[in-house]
Amino acid sequence: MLENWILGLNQLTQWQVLVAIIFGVGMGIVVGAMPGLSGVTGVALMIPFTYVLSPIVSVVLLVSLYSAAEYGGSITAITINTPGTPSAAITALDGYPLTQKGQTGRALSLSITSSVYGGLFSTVMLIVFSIPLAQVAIAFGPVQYFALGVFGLSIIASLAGGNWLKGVIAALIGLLLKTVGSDPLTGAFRFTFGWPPLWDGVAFVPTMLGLFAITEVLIIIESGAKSRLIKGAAFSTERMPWREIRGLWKCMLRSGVIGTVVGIIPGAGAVMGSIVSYNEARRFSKKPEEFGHGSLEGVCAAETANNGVVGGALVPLLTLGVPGSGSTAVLLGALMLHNVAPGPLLFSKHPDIVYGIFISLFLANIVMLVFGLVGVRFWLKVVQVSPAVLAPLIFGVAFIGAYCVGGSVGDIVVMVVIGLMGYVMRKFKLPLVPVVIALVLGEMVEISFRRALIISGGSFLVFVKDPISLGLLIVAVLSIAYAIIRDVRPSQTKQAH
Amino acid sequence: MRRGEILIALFLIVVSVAAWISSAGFVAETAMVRTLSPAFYPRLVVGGIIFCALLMLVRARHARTREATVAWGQWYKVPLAAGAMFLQVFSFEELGVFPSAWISLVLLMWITRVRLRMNLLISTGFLVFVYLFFVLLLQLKFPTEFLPTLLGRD
Repeated sequence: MLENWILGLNQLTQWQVLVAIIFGVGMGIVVGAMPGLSGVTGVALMIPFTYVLSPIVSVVLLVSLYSAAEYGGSITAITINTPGTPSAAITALDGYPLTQKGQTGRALSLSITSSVYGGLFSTVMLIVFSIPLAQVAIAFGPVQYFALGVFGLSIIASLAGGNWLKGVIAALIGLLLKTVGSDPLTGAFRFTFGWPPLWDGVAFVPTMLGLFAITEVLIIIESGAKSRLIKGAAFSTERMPWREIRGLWKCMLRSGVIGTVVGIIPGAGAVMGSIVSYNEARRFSKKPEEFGHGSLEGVCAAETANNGVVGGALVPLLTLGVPGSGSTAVLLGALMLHNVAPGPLLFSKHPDIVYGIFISLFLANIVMLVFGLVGVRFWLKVVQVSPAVLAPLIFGVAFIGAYCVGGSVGDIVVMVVIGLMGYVMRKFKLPLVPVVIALVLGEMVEISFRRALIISGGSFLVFVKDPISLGLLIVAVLSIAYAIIRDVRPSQTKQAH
Repeated sequence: MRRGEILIALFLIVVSVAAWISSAGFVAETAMVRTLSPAFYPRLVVGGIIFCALLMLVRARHARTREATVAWGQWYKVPLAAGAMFLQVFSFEELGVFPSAWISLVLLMWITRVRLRMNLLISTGFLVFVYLFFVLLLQLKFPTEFLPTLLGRD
């Protein structure tokens, strides 16, 4: 164990790793703060450029970006009532009223402190949970992996977008896209239509860029791309005193636990973490009437939880190779591109990377604290770039990224076509996250499914004879059943929300 | 009745049926398909999509509200933008990355109504940044020859 920590610390002696943390945090805050962009878009846009970097530097860069993007969303939520990320919408409920009361500086300093606390707390929980979980998962075979894949997909599909049917359809579209290319077991070409760029399947990076960058560009263009300049904005800079922040320790602890637990559940994500944490903070508060009118506890609960989700979401990713959100799915793809396959073996094969991630997450949070306290005015200037200008530039960067990966026109065609598909899906409210996760898990699901059937001589009973597989499949069925029940009782659900 | 959902469900059914038919052409050596043919798994997925799409169709047909009606905004800009993107995709090997990227950036910013002077300035500035950062610093290789096929340098 100790030697693994030393290995992880050794990675940080490389100057490139430290630069990656600083750059990743900076980029994360910017993409998080820009309404329309999010951590997942930032990570997807950054992947192609990590090819020239070593695996550890790439991973640290992307993890730092992912972590900081969750905080970045709160800056514009508090100052201009425009959440940069979906989860920051909960922060805006109390953050913006604080700005209206002239307490921007207090809200922003509380937001960064809570975010860093949430990030550090969930990193500790990541270390505590992931090491023993990886030891259990090391005994998994094809039967268990198939059940695990189905479990992950069903939970994600049932939680995504609030409409289980659309979530399931989106996941199935992802699974179908993953079958394009040569069959992993027989080598037969499937859905390639004789076009060579599809022989190796739908390339991962162009697909991610298409789904997240090109789709976003088209949405921005369609929406009219209005600028949201802050004209003559003057915000108070008075920070919240440390003793006042310390007084919120109960709220922080509770929200940290909620964020981490919600993060571990595949598909739940930062939005759900923030909502649950916010509701609980209101329930336990001595001043519940202040919520929605500038409650410091409200800002603290939302921000602690959405950063707490980061460490939680990395638990299933690192230990089982199952991503729980769009960002972690893209991270998983990035790791695979560097021949680092997340899962239980990662801990024994690449302890330097696993422990490097743990330590760099601590450092990323410290860098985020410094950037958050010192550079708020700078970030506000950066995010004022007009979407009308931003959208074409995102396409420019995505084009370079897609070309860098394979150097072929085919990859870029795939990127644009998938982008158009993503645009249509978003217009019809089909969620994109299940598509990505199905794309990432698709191969594992298919290979495990077919291998298990080969081992059992074609008997489907193999999936219910194993207790782990049976348990995971029961939870998968229950999650879909729960979603169906929730769906047929919409009025009650809406009231609850 | 939700027309948008009905439309997307019908589209999914048509595509899935086409995929099912297309999967009949998956060829593998007979020794490799003793347990499952390469078409088995894709057909399982396609079957799932058809089932879910039919369910969506039934639900949309009987829905009392029209809450899923799609808001299209300035939708006509999307095909224009896609056209500008494809222009770059299919011209960059002949025109070179920088001229084709410049043209498509200018077109995209024209679509998003950025003022012409600002448009030209940002497009050019962005490409200067790309050259300095990606070509000089990261040493990435892009096709830069102008009309290589026409001028016989391919």
